[in-house]
Amino acid sequence: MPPHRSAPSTAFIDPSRIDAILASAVPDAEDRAFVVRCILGEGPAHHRGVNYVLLRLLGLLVDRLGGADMAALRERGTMPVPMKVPPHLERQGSLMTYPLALPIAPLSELAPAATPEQSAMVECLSDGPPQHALANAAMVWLIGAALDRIGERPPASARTSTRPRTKSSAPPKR
Amino acid sequence: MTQADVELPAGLDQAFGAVAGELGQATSSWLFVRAVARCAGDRAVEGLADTAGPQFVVLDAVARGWLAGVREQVVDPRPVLEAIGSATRLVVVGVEATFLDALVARINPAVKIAMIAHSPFAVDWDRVLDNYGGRVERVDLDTFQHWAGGKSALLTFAYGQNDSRTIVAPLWLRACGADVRAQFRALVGWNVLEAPMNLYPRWLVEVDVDSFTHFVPGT
Amino acid sequence: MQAPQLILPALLVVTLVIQAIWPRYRLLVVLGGAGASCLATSVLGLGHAAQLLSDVPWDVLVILVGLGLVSEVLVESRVFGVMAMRACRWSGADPRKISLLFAVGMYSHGGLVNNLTALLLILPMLLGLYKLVGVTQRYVTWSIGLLLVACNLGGAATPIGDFPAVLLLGGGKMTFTAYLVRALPTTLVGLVILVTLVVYGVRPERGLSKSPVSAAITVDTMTALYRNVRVDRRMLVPAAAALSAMIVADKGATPELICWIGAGAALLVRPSLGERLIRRKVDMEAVLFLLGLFVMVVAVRRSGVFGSVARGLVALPIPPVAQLVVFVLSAGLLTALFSAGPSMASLLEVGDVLARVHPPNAVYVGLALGVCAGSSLFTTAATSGPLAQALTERADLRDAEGRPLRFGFVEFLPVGILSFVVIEAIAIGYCLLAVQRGW
Repeated sequence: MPPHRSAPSTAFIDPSRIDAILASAVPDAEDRAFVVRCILGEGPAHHRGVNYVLLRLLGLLVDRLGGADMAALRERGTMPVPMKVPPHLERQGSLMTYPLALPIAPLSELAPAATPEQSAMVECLSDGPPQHALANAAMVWLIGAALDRIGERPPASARTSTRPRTKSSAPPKR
Repeated sequence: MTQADVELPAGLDQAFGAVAGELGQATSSWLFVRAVARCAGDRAVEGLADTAGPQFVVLDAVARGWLAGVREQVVDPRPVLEAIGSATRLVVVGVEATFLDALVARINPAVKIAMIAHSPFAVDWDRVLDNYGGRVERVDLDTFQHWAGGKSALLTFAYGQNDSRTIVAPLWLRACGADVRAQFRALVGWNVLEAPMNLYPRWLVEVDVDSFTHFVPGT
Repeated sequence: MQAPQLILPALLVVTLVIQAIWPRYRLLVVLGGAGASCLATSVLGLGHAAQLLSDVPWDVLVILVGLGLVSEVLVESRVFGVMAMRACRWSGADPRKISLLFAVGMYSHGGLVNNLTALLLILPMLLGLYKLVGVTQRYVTWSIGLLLVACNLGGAATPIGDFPAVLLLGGGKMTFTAYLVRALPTTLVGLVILVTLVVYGVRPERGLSKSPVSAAITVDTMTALYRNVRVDRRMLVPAAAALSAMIVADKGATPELICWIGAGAALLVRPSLGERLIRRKVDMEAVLFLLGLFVMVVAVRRSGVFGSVARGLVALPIPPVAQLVVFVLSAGLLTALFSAGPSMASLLEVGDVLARVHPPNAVYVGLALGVCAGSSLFTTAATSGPLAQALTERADLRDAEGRPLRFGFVEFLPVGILSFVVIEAIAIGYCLLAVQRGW
């Protein structure tokens, strides 16, 4: 029998950091607190730790690219992340979804919108326990924001360089 | 017959058990303590704590608190309303009539309220809900998740706080499992017992204060 | 005696005995007995099942279902709970006054709703009250016993209170008013005598500690339990109107039609609630039981046994009034053995024959009162008895020493014997007066 391992420490988790990262994706403070609790406060310790680490890293990436324009991402469409209550207790309408939706625009890079492929992707991303589904949605927001920033940059060839050109003696390779 | 001559009748523990489920242990305790004090004085309140207290620890706490000078019940729903915030649905886990009455009287009329009809005591749930004139609906332990959602809150009553621990009805643990915790935006504990409990909490169970999103101290 | 006059009554009696011994299977037994009766009448050439079914008093079943639903509307109005709470406050939690007020209250309720509904409404609350007050076995026996008997008397007081009286109304034997003006005062006299004997003679509260603490806790608790409960007039008024409309039956409209329309109107006040009450609260057990019973009684009637019994009774070498007394006494004893439903249904057939030679009102009201007396003799004589026993057990009532308190066949027996004697005496007294004065 393998030796018993204790759960990893999650003392490094600082919910306020993730709260700040998701501020534009979930503007309402109470809604955001609920989402952050689900991502960082529920489920096994290693899930919580992973969510924190990956969201922080993605947040850093977005910051270094110039910040996130979540409003623009939201305008291009979102899908609700449903709560997984027992089917016979489901209530029709938007009240049984999480306050954090899943943006569709980043997924359109992988599969055209309104296709079975994209629908399957949405389903995969929003399936599973809430700490997975909401962390996935949060990551797609951040990845989408990063892609948007990268998309705004001019292509490398069009960028002017301040480095002086030097004549190369070697002929170009054929 | 003076107050000092009035003896406590036998069977008060049976009497308390008959109402604790319907009014709540804290509400019932205050009712009993006031009645006993009015008719038979503080010495009888001590007798009440000695006879019925071991079985009903909330009654013991309220009676001992009375003897220590705590003569008024603090009922202020405002912090609970803040904790509930903009929730549009509220599911109440457990019964405490005095406190729930105060909350229902102050809460936004647009908030829908339900009560989980489950108790270790015998309860006439129709009578409990009739007191709210249709304002509070009845749900069961196996169907209350129908009320889950991003704008839903769960509320229960807590009986004292000791550092990081508090005491609640076991129904809270049955209702607020790992799945339910992520389906209600706010998990609110409302402390309804000012005086600390000195005895092992029969009928009740200890939990971490941190297990709530909002813990209202009540004092 | 011919074969049908042996076989069909034997089927009825055997069925009633078996369902009395095994009440858990009463529906199976009675419906099986009804089926066997249909088979027997077919084989014996007395009629097919369709003919038996056409003779079933369907109007009685309609009235029973309708009144049951109106009762449920009254329950939804919360009027009974509020009145019970006020009775408790008026009594100041005095055990003697509690016995008195609740007996009177149960008599009133029993006259409006069926016994089971009345008991289900009041008894749980009363048992909770007993836990607050602190009671003894003696008090439980006599106070709950008096409650049951008061309920029976109330049921016999009006034509809509309980099945036996409903059978009279539905069969057109008596009009609503004719029954009411005779039965109500008579049952009231019975109630007064019994309450006086029990509350002031037996004094069940003897031995109870009359602690002001108990009284204060009881009154405060009852006030808290009903702190915001109000009577829902939207439900109360239509239900009361439906019951009042039964009197219109005297003016030409038949009782079952009035009941059907009145119940429907009361349910329409809140359609979703009305639909829910119809689906969940119609006492199908009682309807099926009575249907099976009626089929068997109709079969026995076709054999001519009831007529023979009635003629035999009339032929007895005793004064006519004594024949009535024998009839009323028999009703009581048969009811005690076989319960109110079967006894009333069977004896009404005999009563119809007797009513040709005796004043009809005396026969029918005497029969109803005799059945009431029999229902009050044993806990097993009516469904309310086992229900009271089950509710008391469920309440887990205990005395000051922690001993469990019971309410069963043995405990009720002294109350039952006293009640039987008093109500039979009242019934016989009524018959004598009715014959003498031509009521």
